[in-house]
Amino acid sequence: MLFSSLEFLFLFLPIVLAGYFLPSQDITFRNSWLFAASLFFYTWGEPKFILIMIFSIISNYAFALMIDAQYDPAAKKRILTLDVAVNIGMMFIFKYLNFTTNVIRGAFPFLKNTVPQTSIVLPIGISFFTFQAMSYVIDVYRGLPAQRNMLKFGLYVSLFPQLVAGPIVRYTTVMNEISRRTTTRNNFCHGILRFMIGVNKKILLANTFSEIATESFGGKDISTGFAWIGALAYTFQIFFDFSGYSDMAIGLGEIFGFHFDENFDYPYISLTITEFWRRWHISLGTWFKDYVYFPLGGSRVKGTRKLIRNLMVVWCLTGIWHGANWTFIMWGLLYGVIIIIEKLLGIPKKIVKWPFIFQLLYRIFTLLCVIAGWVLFNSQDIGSALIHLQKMFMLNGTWVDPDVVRTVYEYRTFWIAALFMSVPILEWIGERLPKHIAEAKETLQNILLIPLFLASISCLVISSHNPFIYFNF
Amino acid sequence: MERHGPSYQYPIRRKPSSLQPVLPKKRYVPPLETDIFTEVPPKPDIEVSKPSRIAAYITYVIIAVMCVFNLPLLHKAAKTMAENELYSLSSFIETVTATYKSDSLFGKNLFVSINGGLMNISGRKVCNNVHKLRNGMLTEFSRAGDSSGYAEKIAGFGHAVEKMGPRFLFVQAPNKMDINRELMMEYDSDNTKSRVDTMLSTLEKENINCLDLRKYICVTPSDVTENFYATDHHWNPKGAFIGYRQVMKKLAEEPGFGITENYTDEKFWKLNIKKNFFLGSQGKRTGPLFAGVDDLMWYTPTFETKMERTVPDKKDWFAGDYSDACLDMKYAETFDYFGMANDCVYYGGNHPLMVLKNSMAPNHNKLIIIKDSYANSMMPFLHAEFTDIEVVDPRYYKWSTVLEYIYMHRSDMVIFLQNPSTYSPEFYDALGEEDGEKLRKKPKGRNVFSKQNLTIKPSESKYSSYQCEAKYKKNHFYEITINGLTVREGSPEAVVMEIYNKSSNKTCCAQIWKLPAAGELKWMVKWPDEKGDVRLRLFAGEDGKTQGNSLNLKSVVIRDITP
Repeated sequence: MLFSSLEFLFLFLPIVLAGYFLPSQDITFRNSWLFAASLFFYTWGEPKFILIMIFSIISNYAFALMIDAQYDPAAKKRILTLDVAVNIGMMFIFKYLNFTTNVIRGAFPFLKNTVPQTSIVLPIGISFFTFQAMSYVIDVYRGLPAQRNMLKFGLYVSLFPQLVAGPIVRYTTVMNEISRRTTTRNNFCHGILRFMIGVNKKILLANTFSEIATESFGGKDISTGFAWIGALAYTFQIFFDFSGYSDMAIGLGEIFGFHFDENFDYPYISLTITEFWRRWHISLGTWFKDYVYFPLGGSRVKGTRKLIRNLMVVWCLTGIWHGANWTFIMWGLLYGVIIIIEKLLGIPKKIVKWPFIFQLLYRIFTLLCVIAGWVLFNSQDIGSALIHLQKMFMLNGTWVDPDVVRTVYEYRTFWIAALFMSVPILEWIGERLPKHIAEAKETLQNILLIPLFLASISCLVISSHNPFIYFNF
Repeated sequence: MERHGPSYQYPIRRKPSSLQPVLPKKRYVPPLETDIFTEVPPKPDIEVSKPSRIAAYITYVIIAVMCVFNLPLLHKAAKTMAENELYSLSSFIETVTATYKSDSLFGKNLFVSINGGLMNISGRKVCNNVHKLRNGMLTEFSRAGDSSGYAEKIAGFGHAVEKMGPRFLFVQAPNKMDINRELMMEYDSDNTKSRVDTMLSTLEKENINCLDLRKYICVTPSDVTENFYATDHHWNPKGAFIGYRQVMKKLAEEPGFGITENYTDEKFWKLNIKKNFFLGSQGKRTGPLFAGVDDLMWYTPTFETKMERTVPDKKDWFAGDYSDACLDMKYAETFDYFGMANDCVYYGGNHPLMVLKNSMAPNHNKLIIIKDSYANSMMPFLHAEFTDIEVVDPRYYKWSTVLEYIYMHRSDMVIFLQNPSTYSPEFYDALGEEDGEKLRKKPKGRNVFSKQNLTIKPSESKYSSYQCEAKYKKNHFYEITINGLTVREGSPEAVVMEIYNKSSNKTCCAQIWKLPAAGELKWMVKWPDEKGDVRLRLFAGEDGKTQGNSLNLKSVVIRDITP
């Protein structure tokens, strides 16, 4: 089930809220209700995949208890290794096996008869809940007390607000709130407002830009201008889609009394690629930092080669986490290479002292890298990505065609809104206004959310175009 | 400074020091996390102003109201599942999703309107795949390709008709997009004009008699504004009136046809207008806030009329003056932007077959009109001019091919009126590909059924009928002639004859005659290619109203006229 669907907004959510806010304030009842709702939410996507989630909950719960019960570090490590193997194995089978068999059959044609072509359907959100569960077991290995109540652990893994599109919530972030939380009027209202922001971002902006991106990336003889329009549209689409989903997740969390960490922080204003990744999908970045990069030695390793190795491992994994395709691997490696260069040259530290013009040029370079990265990310294969990039950089084709004029003129309001929403201009203005005016501005913004929310629903009602870009994740 | 280690904090449970005595391993049971983590401060409450809180509550109420009012959709989904015998969880999910996406969603029309408003405010010229032209009118662009294949089908049909005897005229109805570039944005593309040009040039090459109404109705952008509905793809009655005049002019020019133009002057007609009364089919998809609403228009004659219309598939008849026969005034009286197709004020919209009669008409020729919905607003004018018109809509007429219909019913002229939006295979496939030469002469045929002095006795049944039992052959053509039909008892207003499949409890085809019936009544019909117990029966009145009626029939003769 998608948050941006009519059955979620007008059936699932109100019923869950009604059940959750029954006069009973018993936390066990509320947890049970949320757990059942979350399982139902996941079942809606594809009923049989619920078994995978239940398996994930039971296995990780058991492994954590086993680790917790052990004093022997070697035994703990063995259990952890087994747990990681089970999780990665599950992800491999459901997410990477098709890709692997394709690669093997492509690279070694003589193995075509030996290696069968698999076509396993990817369970939605498997990367998110597997990473969450795995991080919990690793935390238990590192000394965190294991959760003994299976309902609470199950709720942590399956909690529907962050189940299919993140953010990747750490157990430590919500462990107290799972056991003891209150929903205040302020939190409830703030949650609803935040949820509306997410819905509006996803439906009004991301879905609109998706129309342009689909047209551009699907076109054959497009001009340079339209190739750029497509790349920019996808740049906006993925940001508003992903950050919109995070807003919805955080908002829903607040409604139920949970506080998830922020996942996006205006990434397109970043000065460097390093900074971009501190602002983009923060929960994934910190996950890889804490559970892969630091255990490998991080940046405090002796020798540049080891540092490069660590970074390349992290970025290769980051790429492949997003999907089983060479485009994602190349996308991850592209960032790995740029971040290594930035790190070796010390750019993130030095750039603050650079003259404004150089900062501006580097900012443009950063944005170009991000846009080129999205071209790779959104293409079916490397070949298509290279063709699109060729067109963007005028290696063939024409400059402008009617599609450019149409998509710029027709969607002008949406382009302006997207630019406006990609930078923290409202916050910047708010900080400079007198307190009472800033508060009035904040209130006005919140009131404006209602007509925008109705407009979003209207788009849902009439349109069948409601892409879900995380099906690869 | 870069921080190493996990980016969160929690108390680390130390493992036992190696200096301490080795104790037997005991399962470690941590205290309740509420005890351990009491030191973790709760997240601060975010202050929300009162107006913002109200905004949040309003949203909550909207969601709750939408939930409550849409709960019946679950019942609808369950019903659909039961009807289709779908009992799996996947089917439930699919059905509920589809039901929530359907037109049954509570408040759907309101949201369609909001969406139109959003698109309007944001400056978009496209809403729900409907485009707004420079003059504010709505249209849909055609990206379809070559129409020469369709033209060849029409040409083949026209030649077959002419071989059978009637004259043939192809009337090209106009479209808003005929002005093409002038009303479109620079970046828009539409193939309508080129498709129509190809159609007409191919037909002319094939020596088909054509009338291109575009030249009279949409020469300039202001013509389009004047002669078309803004929120619908159809011309309005003003445009249809111009079309009627040109058709009459063309027919009057036909050598040896003897048709006169009688009511082509505007003084014979009064234009009725209801301001801001309806949304056309495109407007219903965008709502009134995208491109406004339309005025509903219809003409009424200023001269005396006596007209009749029968709709065989509905076993329905209308007789009286122009308003009784040509207009369905509920469409002009009911105000409902989304629920009413008000432009169906003429004849109640499309029907597979209509038989129009006008005993006061000045032209005594018989026309068969093959048409799409564009003809609906033009036919009333022709209805006033001709005594006999039979109207076939190939999209819905399934009782035979159109060529077979023409073979059975004959006429002096066949007019084929079409607008470019219906250039589609479904339209042409129904025309038929029979050899016109073979259908040229109707054979005298042989009697398969003949009865004299029949009486249909009164009955308590609402469906009392007489069955004309004979050996009918599938796909054969039969001419049914009834002579001397008089009412013996009761007061039926009309009688119905039908071919009925008892096995599937379905009417295959039907005919209705208004009473009193003067002279002989004729019905030409193709026996359906259906399995089961198929019968021909004559009702003693209208379907379901035969109680107590009794008829006398001097003779009933059925002949097989298969060529």
